[in-house]
Amino acid sequence: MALEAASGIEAVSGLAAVRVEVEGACQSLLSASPEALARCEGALQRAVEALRRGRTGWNWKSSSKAVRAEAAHLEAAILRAGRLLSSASRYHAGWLRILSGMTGGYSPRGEAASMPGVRRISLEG
Amino acid sequence: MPGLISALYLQAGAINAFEQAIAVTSTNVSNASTPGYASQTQTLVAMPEDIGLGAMGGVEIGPVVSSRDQYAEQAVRNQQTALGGSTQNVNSLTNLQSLFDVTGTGGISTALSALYQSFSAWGQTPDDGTAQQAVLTAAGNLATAFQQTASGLTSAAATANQQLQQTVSQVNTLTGQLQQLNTLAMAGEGNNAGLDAQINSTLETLSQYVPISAAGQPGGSYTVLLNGQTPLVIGNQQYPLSFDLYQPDGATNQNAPPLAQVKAADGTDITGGIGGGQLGALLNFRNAVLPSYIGDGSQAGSLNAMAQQFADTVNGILTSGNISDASADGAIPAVPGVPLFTYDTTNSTNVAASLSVSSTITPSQLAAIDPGPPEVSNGIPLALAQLENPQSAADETNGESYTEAFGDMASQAGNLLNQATEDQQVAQSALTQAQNFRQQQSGVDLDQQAVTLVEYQRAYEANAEMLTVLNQLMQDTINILEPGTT
Repeated sequence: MALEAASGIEAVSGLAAVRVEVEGACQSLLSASPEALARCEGALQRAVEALRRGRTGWNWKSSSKAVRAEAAHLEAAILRAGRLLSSASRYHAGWLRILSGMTGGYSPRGEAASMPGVRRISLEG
Repeated sequence: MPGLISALYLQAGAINAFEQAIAVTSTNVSNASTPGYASQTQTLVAMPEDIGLGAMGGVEIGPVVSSRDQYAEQAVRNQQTALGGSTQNVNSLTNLQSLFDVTGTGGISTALSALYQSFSAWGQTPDDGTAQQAVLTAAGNLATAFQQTASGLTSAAATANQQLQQTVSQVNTLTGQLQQLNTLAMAGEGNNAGLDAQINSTLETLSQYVPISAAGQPGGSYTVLLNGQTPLVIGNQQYPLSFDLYQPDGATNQNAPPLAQVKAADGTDITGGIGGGQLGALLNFRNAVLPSYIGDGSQAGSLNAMAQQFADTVNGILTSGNISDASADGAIPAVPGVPLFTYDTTNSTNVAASLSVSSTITPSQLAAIDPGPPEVSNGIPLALAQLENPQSAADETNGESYTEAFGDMASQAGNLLNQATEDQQVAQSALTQAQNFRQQQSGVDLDQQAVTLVEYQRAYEANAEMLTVLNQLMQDTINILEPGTT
């Protein structure tokens, strides 16, 4: 019984830690600069790994009310991250279309021309 | 000497140009906190220098360029619309949820439970006047609870009507202001940064009420369309909206509560096309959410349907029983039971509001005898008490008990409120995000943007993939959660 309770605490704190990562990703998405998006990817990656580990490592038997409440909070945070990611993506996709039209004109069918390829050189060493 | 004069002329031109630039910068600083203001830049134009042709070079002032980007402005307005809608939903649904008490301390669920208990107690002592009176009292309390809930919903509809009228007036006030600002712009004030700030600030306020698209016109005026279709302001012309209540053509019940309607300036019904913002949320609450409970011209509403079905079921059971048996020789016939509940049978949307205990029934007229065969002296109260845990479809409403059906009604309101609260939080974040984008966009070099956008694309794809995996993992995790013991 005591072991189960301890496992429950571990699951709650584990889920809370995953939620903190997802909320960090949400915070990054508020500004959504390329640097912030890279940070967001890192946070989501850590959240995935932690949840993957927790699914086999934590004891889910007789999940307490606290575990289910924390799971619901995490689910809401993931939903919020998804909505923010999709609105930011939509915004930049629209901006890309505008820039494409401004730089490359429009096709006879009224579609914005595709953006000219950007070639970048990276030197190391 | 000519060289000196030229030099002085050039210096004077440069000083003039930089004075203008300083004036523009000064305007930017003093308007830093002006709502809707976008920073301006004074462009400087290098003049050709060719002594042979008499061109002396130097610097002259070019046009003042605004950092305002209409795409970023529209993105902010879209998020203002989403936030306006979800905030209105939270306000409306908070009021609605308070009408459905499921805490067991009041309202329909408590009165229903008390009535079932009185049926059980009556079944123990079917001829006891006190137990019979307790049934009438509990039935009266249930009827009152239905009336109060119906009255609360009707009052919520009246409040929504009032809010709709105020919101339409507010939209018209704002579009009136835009029409006046457009008039100023068209009169030659189009390059006035303060005027531009006023227009954009008003547009942002307007977008909280209705979804709008605004297109800047040459000269500085704006064309404003509701949902990209209905004109609100074009040049110096305003197109005001109007609000009224109406009964739809296909309504089968002309006595039902009317629906709300918003019309464009030309009289066209645009109710269905508004969709978002405070006005859209109010219309949805008034025309879809409330009628699902209290009905409209084509439906009775779940509260009325439940009240009617419950009253009919109880009355049906009571009238199938007998108040007293027939005499053994058959000379005196059995006295059949009488209905307990009455309601307005002429209007299906008025059942809950009119539900009451029959004014003519007395405690001794409650029929307890189930004539059978076999006859059971307390068969009727037992059958009535059985409604709490139905054993047959006849005792159910839509496949569940009345208690569960009311719980569903209440949880529907609760779920809508939870969803709206979540939407409001997300919309607030999305608005902050859009405002940040607008801030980032100001004065950005297009070539730099082109490079950055390719990086954005890659980053979004990577994040979307990660989020999909996380979401799937979360759903799997929720599926393995077991009911807790604490």
